[in-house]
Amino acid sequence: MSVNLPTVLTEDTHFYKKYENELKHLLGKYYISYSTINSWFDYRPDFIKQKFLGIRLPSGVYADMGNFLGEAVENGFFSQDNPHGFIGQENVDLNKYRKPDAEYEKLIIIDRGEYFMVGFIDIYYEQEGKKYLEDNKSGGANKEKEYASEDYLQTVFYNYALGGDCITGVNFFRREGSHVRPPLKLGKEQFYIPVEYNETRVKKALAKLDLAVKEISEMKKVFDKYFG
Amino acid sequence: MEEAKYIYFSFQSSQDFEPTSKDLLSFQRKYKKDFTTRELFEDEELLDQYRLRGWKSPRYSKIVSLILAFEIKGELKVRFITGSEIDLFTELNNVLRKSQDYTLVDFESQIVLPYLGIRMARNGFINPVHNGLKYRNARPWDLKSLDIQQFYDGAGNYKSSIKDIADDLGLNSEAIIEIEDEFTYYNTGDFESLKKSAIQKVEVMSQAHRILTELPPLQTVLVEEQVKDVIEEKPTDWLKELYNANQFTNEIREGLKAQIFGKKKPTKKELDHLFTIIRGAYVRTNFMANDQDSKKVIEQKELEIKTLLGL
Repeated sequence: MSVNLPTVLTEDTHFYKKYENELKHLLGKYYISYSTINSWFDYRPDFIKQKFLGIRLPSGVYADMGNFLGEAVENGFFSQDNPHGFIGQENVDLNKYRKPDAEYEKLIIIDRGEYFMVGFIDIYYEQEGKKYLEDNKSGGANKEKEYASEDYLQTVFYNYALGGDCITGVNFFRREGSHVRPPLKLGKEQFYIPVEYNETRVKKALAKLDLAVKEISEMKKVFDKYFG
Repeated sequence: MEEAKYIYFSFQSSQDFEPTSKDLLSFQRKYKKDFTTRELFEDEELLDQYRLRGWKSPRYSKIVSLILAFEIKGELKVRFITGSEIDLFTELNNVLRKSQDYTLVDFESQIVLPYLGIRMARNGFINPVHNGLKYRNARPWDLKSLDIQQFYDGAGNYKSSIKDIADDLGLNSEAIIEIEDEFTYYNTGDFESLKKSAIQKVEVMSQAHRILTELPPLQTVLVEEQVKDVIEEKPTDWLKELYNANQFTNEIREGLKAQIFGKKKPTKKELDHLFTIIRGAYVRTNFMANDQDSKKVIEQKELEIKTLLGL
């Protein structure tokens, strides 16, 4: 298979400067992220608009709430810059999710030769000789089922990139309200969803990654031929 | 969150004081002296009525200037453009084709858009190149432009003019000429007043919008242009055109055909991939912006793509 992904790491790539030392040796190489893989399988029209046509789609209020929460956990406080008017901040004890000497937005790389997968761990820390890797997710009713299912592979990828010896899970924050019934609110209900890490899941994750790269590359070749 | 980008947009219209007999006949039928008795205006009275009321209709008046204001790097760059309608519309299309990620901001969308649409149609510009100009086959709530009057008045029953809004918010609107008076200034050759009015109108639109969204006002930088013999910049990216137009116009269909079938005939596998690519560009999925196709619409679009590709 000849890899032909829409994204190549350059010095202008939005996350390059922050992680320059870890990424310098990968300059010029194709890369893909977990969200891009998901977009390919689950939201293909959006993928084509964004990655092939270069159309900037609005991020959406739900994704913005995820970023708002993620930044708050990282910084230890909620930003005053809150254009969507999210509420319920008082329901989240940020200190509960912040750990001593934790790394936030920790870069992971899975080098697959012709390309690499890139990701950013929300919270990584070590405690009493054990390593922990956590992802923060907010969601409405039943959304937690997605993260508890066998198909949720994000932290599997990230753990694999770090050697596979982390205890992994999702900090789940119940979201109330919706885009038709704003504002979105961070609810009181919050819980931890452990994500099992084993060889079967790693195989499944890597197979999914390779399949996405293969299919995207084939499609991109046709796109380049007729519209490039 | 990404910052929204806006183009404040307005135009000025005028009418000829000496209409053609065809215009007069058409006007006479539409604006009867007495609708009950079907009595018509005649002769001098007809001409007077035409001069008095014709400016309201895009069928008896025309666009003489365009005003486009962009918020760029802390400034409001105002382009005041004059020229023939063909040149104005070609220029407008050239600008808007490159500004698809901007929201068009106007005043009284339900008047401004059809007026412009009809004038453009009469000059051979049928399908708008920007979603913000679309109003045909749509309901008021489907409009994609941002109407400052609607934004300000909201669900209230008071209809505010641009000058009312300026007064309410403490903005200067002295130079703004009421629309119904614009043609008088035009026909007496007072272009300086018209220009000042046009610029102040978009300034008030921008300032009002920014005040209401708690943003600081911007300094105006004026660019004046008279356009002549504007050459249409033909699109080359027909997939993007399809995405923006959200319909297969003849031009887009022919453009895509040339790209796909212009060289070697695609293989069956390539055609399958092309179907997925075109479908990806064509199908609307943004449910949060209420810009999502129904199942029926998706089926119709898939059929159009299959027809295009001969599948």
